[in-house]
Amino acid sequence: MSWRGLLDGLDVRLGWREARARAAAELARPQPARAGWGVALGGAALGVLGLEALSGLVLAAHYRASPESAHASVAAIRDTVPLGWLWLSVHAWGTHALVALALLQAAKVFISGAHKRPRELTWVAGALVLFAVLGLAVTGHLLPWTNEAFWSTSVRLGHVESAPLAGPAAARLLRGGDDVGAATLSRFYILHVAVLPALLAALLALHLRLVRRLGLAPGVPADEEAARGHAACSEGGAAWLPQLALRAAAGAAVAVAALLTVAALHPPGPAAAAGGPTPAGLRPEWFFLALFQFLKLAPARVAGLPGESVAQLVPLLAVAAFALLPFLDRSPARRLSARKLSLAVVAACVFAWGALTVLGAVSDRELRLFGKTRAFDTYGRPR
Amino acid sequence: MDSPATRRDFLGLALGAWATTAAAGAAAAAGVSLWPREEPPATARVGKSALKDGRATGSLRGVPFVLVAAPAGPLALSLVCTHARCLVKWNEGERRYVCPCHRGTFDAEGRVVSGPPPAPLKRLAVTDAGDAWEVTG
Repeated sequence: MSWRGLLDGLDVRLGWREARARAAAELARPQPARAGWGVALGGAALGVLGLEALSGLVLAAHYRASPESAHASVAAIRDTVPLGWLWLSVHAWGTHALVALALLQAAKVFISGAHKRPRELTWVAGALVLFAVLGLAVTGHLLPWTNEAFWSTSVRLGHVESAPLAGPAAARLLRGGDDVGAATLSRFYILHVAVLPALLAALLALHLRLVRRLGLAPGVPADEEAARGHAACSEGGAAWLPQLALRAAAGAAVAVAALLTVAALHPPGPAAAAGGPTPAGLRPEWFFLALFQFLKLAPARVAGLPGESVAQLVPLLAVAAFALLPFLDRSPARRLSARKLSLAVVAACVFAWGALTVLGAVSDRELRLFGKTRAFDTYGRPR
Repeated sequence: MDSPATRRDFLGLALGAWATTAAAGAAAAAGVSLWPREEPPATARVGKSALKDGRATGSLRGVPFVLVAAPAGPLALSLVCTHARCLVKWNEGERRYVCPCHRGTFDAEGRVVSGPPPAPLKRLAVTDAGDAWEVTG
């Protein structure tokens, strides 16, 4: 049977030619002229995600998820597996890159008004992808079973336990008992290598399908786009294939190169295994510092209820508002000058997040700043 | 409804109801297996001669506690902070248990003095077993 005959035979059974023609037609549609190099950001995130999946596969082949062997198996990956140190470093640094790129992507989308009608679900799916990435960061952090990771996880699950309503049940289910231990490691491992990646893949497929189907957002207001149609708002613009896809691929290439460089220059060193006392100065990753600092402000009790459970309503509502932003920010305008109120609200939230992040980073620390040693208290105030 | 339900409608509904029930049952069964069992109480022995300056530490199921021989009787406290479950440390100078994570402090009896902890340190039952104290929790 000829090659041609094989493809024909597969087409009869799978109908792939029709599916390919439909996708090609969608990808050949002109996109709004303002779609420039912005797509490189999404491409960069996809490139890093691909590297995370590949490095994760290599690490999972050598990793053993039990308190007795986890720490030693990670040390073996670092010290004896060929290139193991690099995969380990890439996988760890990739988390930071992925979260940063996702946040930049969210900022870009908000500034360009691309989350508005009819692309609300694209935003929601993208936000859920970010939450899945954060879940992967938290579950992956425990796997090397270092003392720092053990206590970080204990604290995180302690906060989950304080969450209103379902908090205690969720913490117990995640922990697999009353305290962090072997059951927690098994549960985090299965979440990290099976449940969350499957969820991430499904959400990402939905996100990308919506991007392809709805096209990139034009600069005109959402009601004008609805009235005139996407094609009329995109005259003279470049199409996904080949122009925009090439820009996305360039973004991916730059991001992967940068990640490999940082990972090769700053590989992880040895760290003490779990089993010691709670280390002083325990602090989460940069993207959780604002939450860490905010929860310190909670009083012990508010109106007779545990203070932290009440305080957690603020970040929980903020997270919900982030995921559902297109349904809160409903004006059709896309130009920033016509969106002063929503811009002011989001800018205030971003400022609060940034300020709490800085306070969280300096709290309980002595730092040399501008040639002077300054000490900061637990609330980040200079002492 | 203008048109009466057909046999096809009914069977479609029945299929949907069966699939929903089966999925809910399977999820409930998985939930039962995933829900952690209650751990039975454990007992740790602390030899009376092991006390230094009237204090000794031990652990129950891997979780550390402190035993203090106070004039009013022995007192055993879990060292797990009630806020975010870090291990508190006794600071002799301040006479406080201090949590390294969010600066919660507790007095010698485990009562909250400052910081975010919502409840006092957990007290564990102590019984006198001759040359040792038995701590249960």
